[in-house]
Amino acid sequence: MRLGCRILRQVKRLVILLAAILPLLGQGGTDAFVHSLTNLQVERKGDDLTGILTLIDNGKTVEVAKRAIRGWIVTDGTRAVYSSTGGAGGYEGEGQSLWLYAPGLAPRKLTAQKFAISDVKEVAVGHNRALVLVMEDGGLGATHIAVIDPKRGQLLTAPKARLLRIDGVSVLVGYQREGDWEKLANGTDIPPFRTQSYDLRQIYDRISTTKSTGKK
Amino acid sequence: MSNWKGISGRSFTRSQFDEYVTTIHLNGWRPQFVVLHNTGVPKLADWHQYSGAKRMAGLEHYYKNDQKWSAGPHLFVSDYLIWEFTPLTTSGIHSPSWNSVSWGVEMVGDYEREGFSRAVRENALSALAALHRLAALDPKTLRLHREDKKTTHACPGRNVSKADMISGITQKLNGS
Repeated sequence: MRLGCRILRQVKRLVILLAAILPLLGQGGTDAFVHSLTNLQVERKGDDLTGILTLIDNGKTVEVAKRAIRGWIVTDGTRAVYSSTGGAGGYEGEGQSLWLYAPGLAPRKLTAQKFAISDVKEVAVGHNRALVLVMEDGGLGATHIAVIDPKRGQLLTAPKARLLRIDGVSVLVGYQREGDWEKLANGTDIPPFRTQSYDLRQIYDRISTTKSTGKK
Repeated sequence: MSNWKGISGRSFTRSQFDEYVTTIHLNGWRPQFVVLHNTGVPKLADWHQYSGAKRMAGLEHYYKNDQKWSAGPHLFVSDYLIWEFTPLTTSGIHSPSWNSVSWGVEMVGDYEREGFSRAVRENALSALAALHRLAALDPKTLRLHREDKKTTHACPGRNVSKADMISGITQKLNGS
């Protein structure tokens, strides 16, 4: 009988502890086992550039943003990122911003770019999640690549370059000459004059070395 | 690194621009049509915060050093004056699919949000008519930047009507 009471008390403590910890886990962003985001949609009226971004979180429709342009579900369906207006200027003001949505939290601005963001790909590098942004300008018609980390900011940029491939943690880009872009826009395939592979693991290693030694 | 083509930086009233284009000879590069834009940023409401000359210098710095392009659009049309930016005798950079075959004309303003300024419209129609006359272009070949499938944004904004612009250019060419 006394043993039974003791077990019951321990179970009660455990339940109280879990009740206290679980919401904190959710706030801290390690709630991968709770949220499953699907069906991301941007609903526009007429020719509007922006629209309302909604997604489904465990069967429930959630309105994430009122002025989104494009969106992508990332981090195994537990987060979403979306582009919006409010970039960093750019040609005819075309620059866009990128925002992170984590369930239960207000969206957070990750970056403001001077180009339009046409695609986002996530690359897992150890515990880190890097976001590869493919951007476009509406004058020359070039694409521009940036890699950002939601916690650390921008890791690298490759202007006037095409994203050729992502192999594991390596991002391969191809640099084009100015005259190539119009031909590419009109359907002619022009090979890049130079390719460059960026190893994201090395970039993260450099950052952590810089942090620990304080040296650049 | 792109070779910057340089800018003209000259400004004209409507009649001065009409006169100026008669001195241009398209012996080398020759455009097939005009692409119409709006600046978006700056808006017309902000344009006069700086002198036109300062605007041209700022735009040159922007296209040359920030964008690292070899050129920019050909004309900037404000409510007062028509500014020649990239010389009309060479190709510019303004619209992904059509840079080597078109003139780019920027109307100052954000006509997605601002009402289409009458003065800008009048100056633009006059400049466009002069360009169409110079290169013997049919006004119906006029294109809007947003019609380029490779562009990223709504330019020149929903308050600019292509049909209205074509009709306005045609009227100017017919002398009415």
